[in-house]
Amino acid sequence: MDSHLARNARFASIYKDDHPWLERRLRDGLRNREDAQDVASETFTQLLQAPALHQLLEPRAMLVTIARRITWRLWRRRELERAWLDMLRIQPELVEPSAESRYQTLQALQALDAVLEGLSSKARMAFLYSQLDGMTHVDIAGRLDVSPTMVRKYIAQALQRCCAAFDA
Amino acid sequence: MSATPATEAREAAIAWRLCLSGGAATEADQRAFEAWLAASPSHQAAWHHLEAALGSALHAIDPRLLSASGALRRSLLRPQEAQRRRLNKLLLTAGGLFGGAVCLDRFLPLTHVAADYLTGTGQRRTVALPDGAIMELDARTAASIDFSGGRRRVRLEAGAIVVRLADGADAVGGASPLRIQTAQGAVLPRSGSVLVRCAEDRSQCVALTGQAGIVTVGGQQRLLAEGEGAWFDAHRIDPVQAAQTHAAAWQEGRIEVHDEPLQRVIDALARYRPGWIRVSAAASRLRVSGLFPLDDTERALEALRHTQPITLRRFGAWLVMIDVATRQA
Repeated sequence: MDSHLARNARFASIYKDDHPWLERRLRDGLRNREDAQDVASETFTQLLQAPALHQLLEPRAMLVTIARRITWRLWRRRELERAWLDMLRIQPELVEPSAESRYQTLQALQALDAVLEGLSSKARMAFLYSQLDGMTHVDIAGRLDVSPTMVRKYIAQALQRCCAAFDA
Repeated sequence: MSATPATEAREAAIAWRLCLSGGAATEADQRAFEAWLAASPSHQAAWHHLEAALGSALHAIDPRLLSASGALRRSLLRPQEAQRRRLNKLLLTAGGLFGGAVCLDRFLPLTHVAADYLTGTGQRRTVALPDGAIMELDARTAASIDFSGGRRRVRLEAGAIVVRLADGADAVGGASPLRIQTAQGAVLPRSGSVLVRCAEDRSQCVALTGQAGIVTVGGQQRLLAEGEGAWFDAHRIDPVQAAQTHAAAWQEGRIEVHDEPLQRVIDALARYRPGWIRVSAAASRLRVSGLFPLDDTERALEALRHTQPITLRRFGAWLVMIDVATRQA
C-alpha cells in the first residue's frame, strides 16, 4: 500500500514539474498546439503505467522517450492515412461502407507498419513481395539483387516480428 | 539460455512456411511437412499461431489497397531515416522544425516550394510587384516573378492570380509589357486588371478591367475586351465568353458560377479545404449556378446538397464523397 502511495505521489510531482515543460517543448517541435497537448497527455498516461515509477531518476529523459514514440506513431498514422486516401481516390470502389470497417483498416495498416518498422527496407520488400505478390524467393532475390538465402533470412525476420506483434 | 520448446516449434513453423511458399517446394517437402505437423500438438499449435499472426498482420487489409505500385505500399516501404532523424531532434532543439512534410503537403502545394510567392489551402495573399502592379493570389497558388534586365514577367505555376497594373504603367514607353506566363501560353494585360488561372492542362484568362491578350505556346493569339474570358491550352483558345468577371469572386471569398459543371465548384472549394472531396463522374457533370462561400466550405457543401440532386458522404474529416442521388421510383 505504501509503495502505491509513493507511486502516486511521485507521479503527481512529475506531472506538476514536467507537464508544462513537455508540452512547451512539443509545441515548439510540432508547431501545433493540439498535437502537442495530445502527445503530452498520452505521454503521461503511458508514464503512469511505467514500472518502478517511484524510483525513476530522470523523469524528463523518460518523458522524452515516450513522447517520441507517440509522435512517431502520430506521424506514421497520418502518412498512412494520406496514402490510404490516395488509394481510395484512384479506386473509390475500395471505400468500405461502414465507419467501423474503415477504422479497422486503418488500425490494421498501422499494425502492419509497426511489424515492418524494425526491418531493413530490403527485408520489408522481400516480405511483401513474397506474402502479397506471391513471388518466389528466386524472383525476389533477382529483384533485390541479393541471394535467395538472404531473401529467406529477410522473410524469416518479418515472420518473427509478426509473431511477436501478435503475442504482444 | 536454451530455447523453450515453443520457440523451437515457432522456428520450425517459420522454416516450413519459408520452404512451402518459396516457390521451390517438392512433393517430398510437402510430405515431410505433413509428418512434422502430425508429430506433435505443439507443432500444430505453432503452425496455427504463425498463420494467425500473419493473418492479423496482412490479411485484415484488402490486398488491392496494398497493390505493388500503390501509395500505401510505397508508404510502408519508404526509408524512414530522415523522419527518424527529425524525431530524434524533436524535444532537443527548442525551435525544431516540424518534421511532418507529409502533413504539410495537405496544406501547401509542396511541388512548388521554390516559387517566390506561395499560398496554402484557404489562404489568399496580396503582393506588390516591383513596377507598382498589385498581384493577388488565390488559395493553393504558386507564382514566381522576374523583373531583371527590364523584363516584367510573372510565372504562374499553380492556382490563380489577379494582377492590377499600376496606373499609367501601360503607357510607359520602352519598358517591356507585363507578361504572365503559364505552361500553356502567356497573358499580356494592356491595362486595368486581369485574372489568370492555371488548371491541370489548361489556363484561363479574364480581362477584368481593360484589355488583355492571350498568346499560346503554339502561337494562337486573341485580344480580350473588358469582361471577356477564355480558356486555352497550348494550341487552342476556346470561344471567348462575355461577362466573366465573376471568375474573380474568390477575391471576396466567394465562388460564383453560372451554369457550370459541379466539378468547377468543387475544385474551388478544395483549394479552401484540407483533405479530399471526391466527385463521381456523373455528379461532376451536373450544371450548377449560384454563389457559394469559400471561407466556409462546410456551408458551401450544405448549400450544394440542398440545391442539387446529390448525396454527400463523409469519411472522417478528410474525405467527402459526392454522388448523384438515386431517385426512388
